[in-house]
Amino acid sequence: MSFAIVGFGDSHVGSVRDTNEDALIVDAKWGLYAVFDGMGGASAGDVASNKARDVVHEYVRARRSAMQPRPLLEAAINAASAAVHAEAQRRRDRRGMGTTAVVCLVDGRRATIGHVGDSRAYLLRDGRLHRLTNDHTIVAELVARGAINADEADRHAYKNVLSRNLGAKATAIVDVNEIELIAGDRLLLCSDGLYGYASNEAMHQLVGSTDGAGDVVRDLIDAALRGGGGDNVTAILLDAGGKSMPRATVVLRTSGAGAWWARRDRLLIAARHHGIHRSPLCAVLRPDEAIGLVAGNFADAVYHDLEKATSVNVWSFAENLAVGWLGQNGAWMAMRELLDGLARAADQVIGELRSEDRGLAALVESAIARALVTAETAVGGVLAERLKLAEAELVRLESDRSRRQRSEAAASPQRFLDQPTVPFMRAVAPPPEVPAPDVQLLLEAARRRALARPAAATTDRTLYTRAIDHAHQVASASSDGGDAALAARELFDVRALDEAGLAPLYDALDAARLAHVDAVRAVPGAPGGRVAALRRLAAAYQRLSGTIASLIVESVAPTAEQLREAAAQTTRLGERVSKNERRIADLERKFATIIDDELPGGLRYELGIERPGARPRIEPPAGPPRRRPSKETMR
Amino acid sequence: MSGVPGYVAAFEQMRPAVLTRLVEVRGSLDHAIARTTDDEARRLFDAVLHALATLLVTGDHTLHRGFLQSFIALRGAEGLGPDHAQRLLVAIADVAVQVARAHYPDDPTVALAVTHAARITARMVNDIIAEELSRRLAQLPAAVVGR
Repeated sequence: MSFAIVGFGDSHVGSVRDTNEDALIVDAKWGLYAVFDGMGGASAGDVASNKARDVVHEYVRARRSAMQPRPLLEAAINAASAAVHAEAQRRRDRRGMGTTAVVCLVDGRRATIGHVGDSRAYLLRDGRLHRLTNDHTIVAELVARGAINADEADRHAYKNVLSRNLGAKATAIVDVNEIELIAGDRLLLCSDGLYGYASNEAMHQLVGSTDGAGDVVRDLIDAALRGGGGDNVTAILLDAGGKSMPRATVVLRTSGAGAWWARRDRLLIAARHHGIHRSPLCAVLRPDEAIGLVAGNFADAVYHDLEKATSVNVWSFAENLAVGWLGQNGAWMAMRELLDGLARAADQVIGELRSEDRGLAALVESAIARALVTAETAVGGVLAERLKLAEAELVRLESDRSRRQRSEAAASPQRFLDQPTVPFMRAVAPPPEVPAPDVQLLLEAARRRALARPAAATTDRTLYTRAIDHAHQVASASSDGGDAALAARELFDVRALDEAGLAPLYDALDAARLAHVDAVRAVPGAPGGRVAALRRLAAAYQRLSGTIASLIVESVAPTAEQLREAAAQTTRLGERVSKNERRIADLERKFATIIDDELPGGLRYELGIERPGARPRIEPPAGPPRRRPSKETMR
Repeated sequence: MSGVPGYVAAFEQMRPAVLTRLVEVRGSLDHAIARTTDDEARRLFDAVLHALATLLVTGDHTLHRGFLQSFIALRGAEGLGPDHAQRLLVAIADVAVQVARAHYPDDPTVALAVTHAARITARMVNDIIAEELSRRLAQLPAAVVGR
């Protein structure tokens, strides 16, 4: 079967902005597709994105036959970063300009995707939309380091602040993914103007539709505009042709889902047989209600997931169940038995299906097994969240107690200070499994080893050494966090809040963490001591990262406040301008009426108020901003 | 190898392909692993695949639980929670299932066996988290009294 890639791309200025700072490449001849999203004041954003586009395009065309896709993409993106950086240095009004890049090079079935910044690549396969790229934003880095969670990230005031871009420095760190395309795959490249204003569901539905690539791209842009269109929108869709889905998926979504639905009542009977209604989770429900609510909802969730080839319904079902039960301090064992009961009931239904259609039963069995994995993962998330809360509460109580003891000791320094074991290390405070001196020695040996290691050429050696030293101090000290705050401040020092200032710090922290952990693993010693040392180090690096993140947020807070005020003022000024424009229009109409009433027609023409044959002026109706034509489109 | 199910041998045969695939797509599996070298990522994935293969061969849950506890502790040392470790393990198994479907399109037993192993793994991680949670909750009253 021939394997042809059809690519289509388009860009739109959006509903709010005056200029389009996005740029794109759709070059089927060289298999090159790319989206760039520029930034920088005084029209420098479009200069950056256009410059990067031209350099990448030229670089790939010149070296396509001589280099492998991966090194070629890395080199092309770096060349673009150097060019944008040089341009920014050359002209004062373009200082600070930069651009994101997501570049895809297709060679036969193989697609190589390089990206820097928050423009994204998605892959549609088997009806599911997978995100292939991780955003290079400060907030995404904080999420990856565990400093904030995904919900906090969504609401974070600085969620759009990039941690990497082209132009901040002459070189860029490029993330590269390689995937083998199969018939029916679709690749989507887009700027944040698309995913920031169109919902994930809408994107999934449109990319997963059977419409051609051109129609899908236009529909995606329309979806972003309907969502507000607050930014330039650019999308490229690559269609790997052939049949849209493998046969097994189609069978599962049709016959599989139908067969499961037809046996819904059988599942409810099996669930009753396995005692679902006797579960402590259903204690306040009548048996019929319990079966309907738990087994019925499970059956519905599985059916909808089979039909749509997703796992979101089973995830929601399990998560809701876990939040409801574990949130009331319900026992995990009860939840575990309930899930096992549902699994056994599903097994029974599949067994019956197997006697009728062995092939279909195998497909459904596989899908149900995966659904149960999803359920376990959803419950795991709830359990882990509760564990985190419990640990945070223990740390708070312990910190309060330590602080109180210190102040008491300061008030009467002659008294003997009883220092009990940290309560959350063991339930009944038995003697520690590993004597503290061993852990201390292990940490010291690991520090020496980590410091002796050569850091990567791109890592700032001084920061790397300081990060290891500070993490070691924090890991060796008590748990009150005071040392971490001091260490983080020393590490943060005085630095610019941009890519050039922050990237070396986070790179050094990352490199130090990896080297430090490896060093602990390499030091000979008892496994228990190593685990204790690893835990202490993990906590130390987490504290350092978290405190540095707080310092960043603290540092940008005044600027953010100014920005908010400026935005509010702009809105107020905009309202005044609109009001004045309406007044001008009213006055013009009144004036025209007076002229009409008081002057003869000929005199009106002589005065230049009206020309013979002129059409009456029609005021545009008030309403949302009209869609403007795309500023640039390359095909 | 008498007595060992056929899917075990099939899984062993496709392990190199799974490993190669995992290294290729590691950027979309885990943010932290995306930054490691190919060799480091290969070592981590190989350890997980080895544990899954051992579970398939022996069915020994105690042994598998021991591996999971170490895995969670080591990921914890890198600042990542147990739920993150669980999602990574499931993602690795998902890749193995995809490779199994491509290698054995007419034999669903390998993919099914790996999915069942993934479920056992996810369950055991939940057991480990739940035990840790119950220990912490039991310490709370003492900590409150200590105030």
